[in-house]
Amino acid sequence: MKENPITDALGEIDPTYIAEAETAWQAAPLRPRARLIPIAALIAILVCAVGFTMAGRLYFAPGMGIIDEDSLTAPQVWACYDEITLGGAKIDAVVLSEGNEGYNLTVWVWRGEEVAQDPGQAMQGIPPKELSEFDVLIDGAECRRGGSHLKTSGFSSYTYQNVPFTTAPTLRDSEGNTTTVRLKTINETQYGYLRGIRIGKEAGMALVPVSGTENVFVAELTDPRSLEIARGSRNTYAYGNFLVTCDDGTIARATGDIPIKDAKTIQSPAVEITKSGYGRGVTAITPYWMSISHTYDIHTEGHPRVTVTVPERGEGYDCNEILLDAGGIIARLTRVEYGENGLQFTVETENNTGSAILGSVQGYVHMAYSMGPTNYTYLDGSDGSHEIWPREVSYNRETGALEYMVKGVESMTDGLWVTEEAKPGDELVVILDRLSYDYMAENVGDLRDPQGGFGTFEIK
Amino acid sequence: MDDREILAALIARDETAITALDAAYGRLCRSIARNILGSDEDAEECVNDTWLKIWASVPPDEPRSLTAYAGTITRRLAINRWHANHADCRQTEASIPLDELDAILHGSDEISARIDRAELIDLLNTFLAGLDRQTRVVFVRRYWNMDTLADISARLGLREGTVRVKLHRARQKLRKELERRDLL
Repeated sequence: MKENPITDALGEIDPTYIAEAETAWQAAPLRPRARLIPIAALIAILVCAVGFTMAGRLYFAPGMGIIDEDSLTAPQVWACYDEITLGGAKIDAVVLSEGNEGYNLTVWVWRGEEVAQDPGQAMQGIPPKELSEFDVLIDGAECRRGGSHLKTSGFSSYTYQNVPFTTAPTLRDSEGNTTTVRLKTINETQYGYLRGIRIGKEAGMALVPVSGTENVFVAELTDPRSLEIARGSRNTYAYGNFLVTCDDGTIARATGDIPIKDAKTIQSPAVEITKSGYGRGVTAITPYWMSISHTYDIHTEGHPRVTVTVPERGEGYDCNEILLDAGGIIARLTRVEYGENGLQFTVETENNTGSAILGSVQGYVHMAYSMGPTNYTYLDGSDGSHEIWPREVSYNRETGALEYMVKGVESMTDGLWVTEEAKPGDELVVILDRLSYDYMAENVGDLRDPQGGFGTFEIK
Repeated sequence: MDDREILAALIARDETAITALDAAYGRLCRSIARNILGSDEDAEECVNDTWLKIWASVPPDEPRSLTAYAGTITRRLAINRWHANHADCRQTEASIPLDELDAILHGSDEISARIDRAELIDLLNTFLAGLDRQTRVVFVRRYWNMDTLADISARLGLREGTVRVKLHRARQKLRKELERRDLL
């Protein structure tokens, strides 16, 4: 079959358009608030009953992740929590929930040690071979899988988006074994599983039932301030590390990447908290320690750029130039010095976030000569371009006051990165390229929530 | 690793670049390959071939955008594999975007004789620049990423019918542009 030349040429279109399509995303529309009221009221009653204060209600919706009540109402849910064995798989739950268009179906599968044996693959979301052909049929039609999350704790969840309404989906494994599941409406007394708590202003956490008796924890970044910085960033990374005590007194830990960008999407990945035994059978948790490491590659447009003159060797000068002011965090260039080891910048950071406990702060500055623009579309839909800057070696000498040691300016020549010596009198443009910081990262050791909202919640 | 670090690792023949590529672009490339091939197994092989291809071509290539570079290679490999797998021309869900593009030509295969590849790429870039942003994103998601209509509508918050109409109009516009240049 001869290939269409347009198909072929489309493969080589301007990368700008590919980046535009890759980053374009329409935020989920607001849902009618009317249906929120009875759910919110129910949750408020349940919260009072277990005696803790929530700083903003959160919900966990299958296939949608943790949802802030200001963003979405809790969806209607139909579920089957009976344990089902299908071929070699043990299915803990099948849940159908309202989506923005159509319905979302989530299948929770327990794989135990089989999944957990290769956490490297699991962290990359690579499912075991035999699970990759796990299908759902509705009225005989095969549904398209929207995504799957493989958990290192032994659970794997599969999400099918925009499926037609059904209370009898058929599950089919890779060997052709099938079973039809009967879904029942989840009534109000079972909405406890939608409850979550907010930890500080950083993360939401919820207990999620995956069978009639088993629960897992999920945690996600829901911080509006993080999103504010993320919108001005090219890339964002967040790594969460949580410790909680469970109702049986054991300690559970969760670590994992939390993509802030995806927190806006309906397929928000969740970091699952695990304990020995893969977190099964736990009905209550008390979070007592957590840290979230944030890293932002700063969008070079819209943030200040500072021109400095390279001083004579052995000399330096003080200055006071803002490199970043976003989300309550200010980074300021306070000194330029040409020492024995090269050019050094001192950058001081201020934490004006009010509630956050700022731990170690690291950053990179970029300087000198632009290598050309690359266009992007940002989360708010605005267009912009990012100039590619050569990166210098930097190091963090002290927490809160950073010095960047620069031996020269790197550039790509004939496919090799070369370093040019910065010369006294040269004018360099300095911008903050990457900002990293931790919350509650260092020796917090106890419950600490600026809102006083830590507590224990249970699923009854 | 960011793009520049991955590029530097490739140039330095550091094999950790492959792991970094997979971490950074594996999801995108698997999505493209799966959309075209409709099979996780084929998609996985296609993505692995992509990393090998990048390893072999960088250097001397120095891609400006690793996203586009990796995605383009995956797309090319997946389309080739799809043609090999479907020599009987049987239509599948994955083949629909390719068939839609074929329909622009109405069976004409003379276009390649009248315009070289570089000129056709320029023409497509000009055509894309002339589309409104939303239609451009819809067009690229459909024919570069090979997304389904359902995926595009979910991603952009549009109804499937709206996506279908936008694609139809964009294809008509592209066909008219080809006709205006006497390429059809």
